[in-house]
Amino acid sequence: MTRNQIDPRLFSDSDLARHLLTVRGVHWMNGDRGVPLALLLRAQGIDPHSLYEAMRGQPALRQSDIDVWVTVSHPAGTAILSDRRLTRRHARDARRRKRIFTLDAATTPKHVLAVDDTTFGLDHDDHDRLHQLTDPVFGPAAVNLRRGQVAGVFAERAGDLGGEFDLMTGFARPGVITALADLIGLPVETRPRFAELVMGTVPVLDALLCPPTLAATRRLIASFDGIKAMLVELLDGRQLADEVLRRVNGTEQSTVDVLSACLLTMVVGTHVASNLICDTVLALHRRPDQWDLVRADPSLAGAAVEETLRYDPPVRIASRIAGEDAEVAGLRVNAGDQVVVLLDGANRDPEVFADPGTFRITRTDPAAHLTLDDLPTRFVAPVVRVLAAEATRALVTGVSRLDMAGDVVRYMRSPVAGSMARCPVKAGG
Amino acid sequence: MMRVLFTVFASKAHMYNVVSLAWAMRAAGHEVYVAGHPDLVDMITSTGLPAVAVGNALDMGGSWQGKGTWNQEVLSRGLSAPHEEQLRQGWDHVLGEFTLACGVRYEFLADQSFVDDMVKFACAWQPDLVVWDALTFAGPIAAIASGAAHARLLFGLDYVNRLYDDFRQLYDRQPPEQQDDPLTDWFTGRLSRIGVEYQPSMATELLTGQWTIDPMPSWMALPTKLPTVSMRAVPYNGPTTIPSWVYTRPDKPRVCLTLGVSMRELLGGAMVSTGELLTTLAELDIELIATLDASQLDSAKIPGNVTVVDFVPLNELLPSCSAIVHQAGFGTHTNAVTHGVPSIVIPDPFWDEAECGRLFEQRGAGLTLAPAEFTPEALRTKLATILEDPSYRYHAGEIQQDLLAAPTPHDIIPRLEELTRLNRGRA
Repeated sequence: MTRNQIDPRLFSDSDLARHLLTVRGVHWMNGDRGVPLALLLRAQGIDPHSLYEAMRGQPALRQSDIDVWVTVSHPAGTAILSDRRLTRRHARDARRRKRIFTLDAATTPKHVLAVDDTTFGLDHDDHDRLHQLTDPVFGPAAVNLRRGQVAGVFAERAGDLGGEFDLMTGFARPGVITALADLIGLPVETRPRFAELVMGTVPVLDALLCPPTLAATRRLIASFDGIKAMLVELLDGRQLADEVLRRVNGTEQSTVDVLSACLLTMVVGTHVASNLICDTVLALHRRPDQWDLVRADPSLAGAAVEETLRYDPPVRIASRIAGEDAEVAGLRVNAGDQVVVLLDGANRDPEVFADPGTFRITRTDPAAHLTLDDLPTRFVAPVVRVLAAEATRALVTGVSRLDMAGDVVRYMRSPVAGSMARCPVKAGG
Repeated sequence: MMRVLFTVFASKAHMYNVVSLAWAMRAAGHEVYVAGHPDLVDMITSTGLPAVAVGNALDMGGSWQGKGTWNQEVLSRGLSAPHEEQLRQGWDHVLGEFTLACGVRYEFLADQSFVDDMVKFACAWQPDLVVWDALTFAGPIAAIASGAAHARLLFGLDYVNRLYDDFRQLYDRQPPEQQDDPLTDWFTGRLSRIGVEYQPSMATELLTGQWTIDPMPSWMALPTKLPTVSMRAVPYNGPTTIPSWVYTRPDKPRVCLTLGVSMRELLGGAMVSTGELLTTLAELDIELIATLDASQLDSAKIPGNVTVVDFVPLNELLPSCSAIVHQAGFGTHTNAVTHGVPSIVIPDPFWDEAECGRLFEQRGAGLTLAPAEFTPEALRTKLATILEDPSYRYHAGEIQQDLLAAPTPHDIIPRLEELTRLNRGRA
């Protein structure tokens, strides 16, 4: 939490609009002055990778504003993401009353909105606890056991595809929602309502750094609260999967944690996995030799997903707040400063990856991408990987060739997730 | 008798632009108040009009720069580029301009405390008409809150409306997921504070008024579909005592040199010294009246045919001038046109200065010298041209006639009274 990271529920339209407009106006103004982070956050007519070349080399951490630091270095990014002093919220600011960001604010806009602090404000310790508690449901081994079931969901969808369809709205997202609903045992009759609500949460990752419109903000909050209320009711009524309910061990903390785990999985998981599936399929489509590799050996689907996570990731920017004065990547960072890792830039660090600008699923680089290493996304990494791999496998084996049937449309103001709205394609061959 | 509330942000040029119309209203028997920032109050009262202080001091000149932010770019910047160039940048440009406008620029010029105070005053005083400076967007909100009619007063070419036209066209061409619209959020927030729910159908009036009062000569004005009342700009130059030399006929052609921000920056930099500029111009057989303050003058030697003053009442000086060098600020070029004096325009970068220079050149009433091409010699050459070639004087006389043909502030009062009757309580 930073001083100007407000909970929209607590503010009138007048104040909230002013907050959103001012942050966005300041991003735009700083973008006009050539500040790379501002150009990224305003997310209009810019290819992020066109900015990264000039940001490479020493120092690895660059000062973007008086108290904002940015890196595209893989080693620095790795260190920052695992640095426990760099958190989601600054303890001092978390206690203070939040204020909207205005033109006379004596600070820089850092984190913009708090959608749900108990879910998205979790720090390293919270995450460790969450992992430990829910590992038997959402951990790598647990989701791996469900691989066959997930594969079935996507195989069924892929089997129905023919002619023109939308990769996002006709395949990826509905498949992801079904698979995730199966995972937590969401009752069938509640699924249409969930599918409707989750559409309102598309900006959930972006809203931390890039202000949505006023209407999108209100919808985001209403949708998120709707999903939360639905899950609370199902947990209370013991109507979710037994494995999930078993994690609630009678303590209040465990109830809160299980709810957080379900929210992260259902909300963040839906969007990260759906975007990842589409971008994997699109990347393979653009490189027919890579498409053919997966078609010849479907077990490479997981490798294709990993390479997409590196090359065109569904999470592009990670932001932390220094909880104390600290030395980060050799530089002194003050308590309360913002430290930003440009994940898509770090994933193409030429010091670490050979030929970083090429999409190649058979990579043997020793280093891995950083895409799913940020705090809220780290939790959903295992399930996202399984869903994306199985969806890619099902599509590439089910459809011999794919052609574009129109332009890919992404949502505005989506610098973090690069959320895809539509992806019209045609099944060929 | 109507109650008319003018509102304008704390800028001398924008305040001076409302004075003649405000006095015409007063002379027609209406009650007139001018609402502005506290740091405009002395200027308002110096014009003889009653002032209402609203909001906090704006401090256009200072503090924002101190915070390392944006004073210079707060007003326009992107809008002063040629229109073709703006259109080439398409959606990203128009979206960027309104994003900056709603988040930074317009918000800075009339912030929440300014709007709140104005609404409060308007609800208490109950004006029949609010006339608002085209960048002082508290006006329409206060009018809606109090049930007044409201008109927008332009101070130059209507770049706001042109941008809005471009915005709407390009907006319609975006896929729905990309249809970003900062204006909706801005209006929604501002109206919700006075308990009014924003509807998209209200946008045009909130941005451009129920009607527009346009002091630009019609041959210069941009094409518009907005309801517009054309008005002759009658220059107001501030409190003035006329020095006696102003009305003695000069022996040599008299030239007035007045410096805009561009010129002041050039002179302040290493490129050109004031002394060199004055010496070079003085080589012409002219009497040069140069407005320079002590800091600009520095230790420059002043040639015999140069008179340096720190202020000249242009309206009184120009009848005796053969040419004027200026930055094409609204007040300045209106003075030049009113007196039929040919111009050399060294345009400022704020609003329509470059375009006005281009239009004068097109009509043969002056020449433009781009700041990037400025040298004392280049200015001397252009000045010699417009002094020697009588066609410039002739064409300056033509645009003078065009200006004088437009109805004066006095002439348009009955129309404004009628429009007020039709629109009051409608917003």
